[in-house]
Amino acid sequence: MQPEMPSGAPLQRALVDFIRRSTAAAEMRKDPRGFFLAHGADSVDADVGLDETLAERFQLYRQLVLGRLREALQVSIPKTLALLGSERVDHELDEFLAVRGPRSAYLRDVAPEFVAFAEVLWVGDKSTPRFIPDLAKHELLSFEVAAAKDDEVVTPIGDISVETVLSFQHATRLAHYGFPVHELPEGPNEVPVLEPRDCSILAYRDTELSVRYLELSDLGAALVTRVMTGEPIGEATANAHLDTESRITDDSLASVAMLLEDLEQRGILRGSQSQKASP
Amino acid sequence: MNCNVSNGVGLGLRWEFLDEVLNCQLDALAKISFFEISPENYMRRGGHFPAALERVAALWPISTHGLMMSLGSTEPFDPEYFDELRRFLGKFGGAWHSDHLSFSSSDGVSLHDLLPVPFNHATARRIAARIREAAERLERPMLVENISYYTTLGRSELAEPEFISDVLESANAGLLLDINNLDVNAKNHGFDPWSWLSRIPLDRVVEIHVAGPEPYGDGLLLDTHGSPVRDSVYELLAWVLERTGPMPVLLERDNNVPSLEALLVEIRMLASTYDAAVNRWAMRQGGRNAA
Repeated sequence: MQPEMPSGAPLQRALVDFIRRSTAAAEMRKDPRGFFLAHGADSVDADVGLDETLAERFQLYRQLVLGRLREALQVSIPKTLALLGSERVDHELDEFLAVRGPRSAYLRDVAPEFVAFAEVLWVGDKSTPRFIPDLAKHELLSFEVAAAKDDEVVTPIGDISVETVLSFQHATRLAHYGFPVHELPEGPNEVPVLEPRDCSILAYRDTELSVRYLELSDLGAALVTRVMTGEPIGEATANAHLDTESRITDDSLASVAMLLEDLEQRGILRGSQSQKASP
Repeated sequence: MNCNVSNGVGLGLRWEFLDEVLNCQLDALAKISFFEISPENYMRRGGHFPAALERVAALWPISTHGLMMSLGSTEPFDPEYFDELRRFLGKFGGAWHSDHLSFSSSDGVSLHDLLPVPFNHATARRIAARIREAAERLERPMLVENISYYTTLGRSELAEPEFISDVLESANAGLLLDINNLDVNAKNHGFDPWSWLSRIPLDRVVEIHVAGPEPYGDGLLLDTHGSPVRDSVYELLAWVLERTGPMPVLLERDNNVPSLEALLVEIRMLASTYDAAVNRWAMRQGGRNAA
């Protein structure tokens, strides 16, 4: 036996379906009663579909929803939208709404949800600049770091030894791109030419809570990756050299020390503890 | 932290002028009795805006008005959202929390808009049960706001005022009376707002919202909160306050947001209407007491 559908649910589902699918308008205009009956409405409720203004008002709701989603994208990934172009964004937003739709109730989650959906379309389309997925991720990164939860406890770094485990500012994120999208100028109107270049970007918040970026060398990125996962400095340093197939030299150790000092001065490192010796 | 919403005229706190509020001379903001926020804009995040909110909350009472409870939905509530919201209200919230008499999600998809619900008895009972559940989860009373709607859904067993009354009585909830929404609906659907007001339980009105709509192509008014408050809303506001007495009245502005200075001019106009109406209410009360 089918569970009973809550009262109002068929009508609400009909409206949601209309809003989500661009083809629903034509279906409703062709057979208004049938449209509501197909969503489970009773025949009395389905008769309201015969009102000619109803489809227009449903269409208005669809426009309002698309407009709100578009605004949310504009706030979070403006450069990506500008480079993709209005027509294309509208088309992909239409598809996103119909196929997946926003799942999170937080409006600020719309952009990451959309990018996760559209990235497949961008990668599969040869006319899309290859750096667009990286650019979108970089714009999302900025938003994510700005809104990341605050640190609850900040402990002094103190003296550092090879056994020290460092903790990072909660907002810190390490991103890897195939293009230097972080170097794109503000206000993009024309599609720039970007040559591929692997880069690792450490994004963090400064003391004024503004988002800042630091491009890391391969060794620096490998070190930060390992230190962020809780490896003691000595172990992380050795493993980072292995990861990057580089030899440990006085110069490389000096660069590691300089990087850690720089991270501390920028407020990225928020605490430390010495690893206890194993029993 | 100020935790009780004040009577008088408040302003919806928006990021466009949040820093300006914090950098402004307090005297200039003397007519603002409270600020209202949407918790969802500050929950589950850190950084500049929550930090700035803490500073605002140290100086003014804060009221909370939610966007995403989707009281009209048929799906179970998200317990994580309620846990987070309850914690947030514990820190910033006032004596109550409000959300809308609408739905915004269905089958796991969130449309981020305030969609209308059918005006029938069964829907009223269903929503009332959800309002009671929300109040229990949040451990404080709930207010619900009448929304602007551009169509009704299905055959309406009840007119909107009776539907709202039914929900409020069944849920034992307060009404956040949005007079702009009433004004917009009256114009769009061609009904008399005074008659509408005479049919809702004014004794359940706990807070009032005002804002301004924008015209849309085919003669509709869109509830965008994108223009100054209309004269017709001032008249309706005065009528209600004369009958209810003092309560929080909020100016909302979400689109075409002008300078804080321009908003303060509007706040002063609203405060003038508010003071005059509440004085008339006090005189009526005095007359009644004398009789």
